Amino acid sequence: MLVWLFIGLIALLVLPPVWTLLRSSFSERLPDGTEFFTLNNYALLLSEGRFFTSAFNSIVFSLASTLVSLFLGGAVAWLVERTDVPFKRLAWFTTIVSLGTPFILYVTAWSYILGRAGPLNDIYRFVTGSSETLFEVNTLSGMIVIEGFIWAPLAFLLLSATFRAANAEMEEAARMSGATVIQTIMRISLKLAFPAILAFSLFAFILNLEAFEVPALIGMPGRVNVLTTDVYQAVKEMPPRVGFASAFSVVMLFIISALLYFYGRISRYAERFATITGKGYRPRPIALGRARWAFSAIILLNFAVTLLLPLIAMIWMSVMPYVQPMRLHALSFATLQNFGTVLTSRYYLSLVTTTLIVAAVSATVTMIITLLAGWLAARRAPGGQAIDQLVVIPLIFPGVVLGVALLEVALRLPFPLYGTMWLIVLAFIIHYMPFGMRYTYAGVLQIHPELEQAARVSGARGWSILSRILVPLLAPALASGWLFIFLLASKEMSLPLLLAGPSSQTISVAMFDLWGNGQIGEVAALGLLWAVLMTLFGVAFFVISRRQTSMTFGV
Amino acid sequence: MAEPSNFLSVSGLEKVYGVLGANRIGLQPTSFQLPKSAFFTLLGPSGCGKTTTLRCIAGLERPDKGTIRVGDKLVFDSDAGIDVSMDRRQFGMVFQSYAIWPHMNVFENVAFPLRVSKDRRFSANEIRKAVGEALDTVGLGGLAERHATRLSGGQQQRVALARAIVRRPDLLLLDEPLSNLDAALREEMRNELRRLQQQMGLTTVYVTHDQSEALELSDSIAVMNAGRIVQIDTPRTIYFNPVDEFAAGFVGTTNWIRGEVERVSGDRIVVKTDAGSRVECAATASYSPGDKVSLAVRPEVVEIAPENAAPAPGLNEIAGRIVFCGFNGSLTRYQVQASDATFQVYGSPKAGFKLGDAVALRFDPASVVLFTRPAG
Ligand SMILES: Nc1ncnc2c1ncn2[C@@H]1O[C@H](COP(=O)(O)OP(=O)(O)O)[C@@H](O)[C@H]1O
Ligand SMILES: [Mg+2]
Repeated sequence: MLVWLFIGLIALLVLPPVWTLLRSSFSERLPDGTEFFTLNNYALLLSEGRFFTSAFNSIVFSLASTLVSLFLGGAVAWLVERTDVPFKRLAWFTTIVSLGTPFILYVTAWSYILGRAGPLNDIYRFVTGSSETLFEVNTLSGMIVIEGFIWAPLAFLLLSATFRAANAEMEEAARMSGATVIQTIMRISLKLAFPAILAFSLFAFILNLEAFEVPALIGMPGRVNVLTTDVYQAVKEMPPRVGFASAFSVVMLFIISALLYFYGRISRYAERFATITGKGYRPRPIALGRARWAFSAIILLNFAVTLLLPLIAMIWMSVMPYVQPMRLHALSFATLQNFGTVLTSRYYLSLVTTTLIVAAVSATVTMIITLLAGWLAARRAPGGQAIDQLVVIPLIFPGVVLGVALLEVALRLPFPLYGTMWLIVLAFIIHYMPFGMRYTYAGVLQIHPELEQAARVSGARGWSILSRILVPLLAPALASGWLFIFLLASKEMSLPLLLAGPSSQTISVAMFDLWGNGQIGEVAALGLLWAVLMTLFGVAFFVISRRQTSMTFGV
Repeated sequence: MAEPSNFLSVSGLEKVYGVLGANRIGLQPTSFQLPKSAFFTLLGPSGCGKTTTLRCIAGLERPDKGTIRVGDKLVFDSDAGIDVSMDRRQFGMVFQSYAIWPHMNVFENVAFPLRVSKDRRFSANEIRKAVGEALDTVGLGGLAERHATRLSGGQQQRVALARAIVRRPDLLLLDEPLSNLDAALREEMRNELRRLQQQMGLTTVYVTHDQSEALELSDSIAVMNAGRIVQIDTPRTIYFNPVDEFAAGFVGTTNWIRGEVERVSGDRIVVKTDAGSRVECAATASYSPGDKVSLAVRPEVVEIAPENAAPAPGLNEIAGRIVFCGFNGSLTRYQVQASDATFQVYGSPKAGFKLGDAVALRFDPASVVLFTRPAG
């Protein structure tokens, strides 16, 4: 009975957005408020060339930036896990810090570095003496480079788990069979890692397809649109073209569902490859010999692009009263005024509190729901299957699309949810449920059912098994799931951007607005302070979950 | 051509991984030779350096010092700077995890060494024939097309073996190949391995920590401890004449008695045990009265008799009481509490001793192995 109530609750969370989107994509609202069925939105979609341009841009953008992060993060992961390259700790440090840094901060930093006044073009002009720019950042290539750098740490994290779990004897067996190093890499190492690499690529491709920050901050100013920014612009237009945006969204949902289906198949295949490892295995790093210093350049490059350069840029921007080239003489303008503004203003304080409350409440509620859901699903309880399928539905929603859907839902509700931070909390819970579920589901699977059966035999019933046996044993999984969601929620931008009212602004929304107003110095100062705070949470996450990550993502 | 008596010759092999206090972790200088077609086993507890030795021979690990010669090929010589890379040594090797590549089927796994062969290109026909033969030899005739992820542990083991022998290598290296199998399968594979090795005349270096495996399979055994070989001999000699307390204790079950030499008369030594009884032993080395010694007595050489049985002249006799008896079908295992020690002895399954019975333990002085105990 309770189980069915619980299923009802989950259905109530995940189904309305889907239903609302479908409904408004097929309807048109007249000024007097009446709605009627129409195929007009879809017809418009197909007749406007804009949809095809954006779809094309989306695909090129996602594909290319996936490749950038795959090559950078994958190379670093292989070096760190399988060779004796120096600076391994630096690679880990880089990754941890990047976990908690809001994307908008990276984007701001990179758009400065690669921008007109930034050091790249500045150096170019200095060296060649020309007045041209070498690189135009507000283009598709600019977007690709920045998005690629942003996801390189994730590539590193997921692929390093793959390489760590790989059995070195597989490669040694090939060498003993007479294969050269090159033959071994081509015929064994790469083939064995291929399913995992493919799974990561598809995962990253989906993330990039759903990405909003880079397209909004880099693409929109240069009039390069992708699907997510189109949806955003359609609802932000006056009057909002909700039906049109919904039709756009429905198409995206279909594309992403198809991709997710393939992702599921590939990662199962990857798991099968990963199961044949032996015991008695001791990782034996490949000796790179003198080349190890040459290879360390890749580690340093990764450090530079994901941490050092953005950090320098942020610091520079935060102490400058306005954006200007990095020149020695400009140092005389240096001021801590931006930090002063951020630290003393009540507005910023309220932003911080709102963001922390929203992130913490969302993470807590999500983990409670998914603890139950993961338990019922992993133990194949009656209804467990239904729960499993309901909980993953939000995966098909890009943040922007979920935002549009919830906006519609909130406007139809009889009580005022719109404009409060609870709408954002609701959005986060729906958005992050699949992630929480991965932690709890995998965690429960690791706990032998006999541990619960022993409690049952000792006379315990449902709730006391849950609270006395399961929760204590799941504590690490619950903690890393909580931190993971907390970190994502506190830097998520697209959902709050659509859902926040004047009194429920979060840090990333505020940074987006400041950015739009050209108050780059304050964005940088605020972002730096925020990143320091979040890095502390990032370290905690890393410490607790180093073991759990590989298992949870199955790649 | 190399002498038949030293087809594989390893000398002064040394590999130090690091230093821990006064000890060097890794392999201390090690030498041994073995003839063609021999089955040679490195036996010792976990961490004693067996795998390191094997991996040095294979070329997977680069030794610090020493030479390794196989047939008339010098594959490693630290002084001359010779280090033939592992893919050119052409040895067969079976790994502890089997290392069956999951992205290939059985046929492709076994064919791999032929496909990457450098000295000679094999035609598709030759490959099919060689792989077929190798699979038949290991008893996997019908499974060529089976996918590697659909094999049981025992089958993976056989595929690994087929892959190792498909090139008919000069040397076959096996690192604990049976340790991942369950008990019944392990027995079966043990027989299979020995049959295959003899049938093909393969010179084999085998690594294990399981003494019964080593005793049953090998022509000769090297017992290793803490990075050193302590004894190289035939299984029989290793078992009945271990050179030191470690070898005696590690291989088989041993009853230990501690004592002091009381007198030496001709080929007999009389030891007064710590508990005060007297045990005679055959003199295998020179001892003088007052030497502290340990006596090793194998359970197999001890006869268990009723307390009041007629005395048997020439045998040692120790009185005791049965504190444990376990019948396991092929024999009955007793623990007998005597004043010197608790003895482990085997009786015929038909003997009717019961828990608490007073018994006499008898054993031949010639079967006692005597070791000097370090002072202190
Ligand atoms: N790559 C390595 N790095 C450091 N120490 C090692 C390495 N390989 C082996 N050792 C150490 O050398 C010793 C011998 O190891 P090994 O040859 O694997 O033992 P065995 O196979 O007999 O169990 C052990 O103490 C082990 O910890
Ligand atoms: Mg070993």
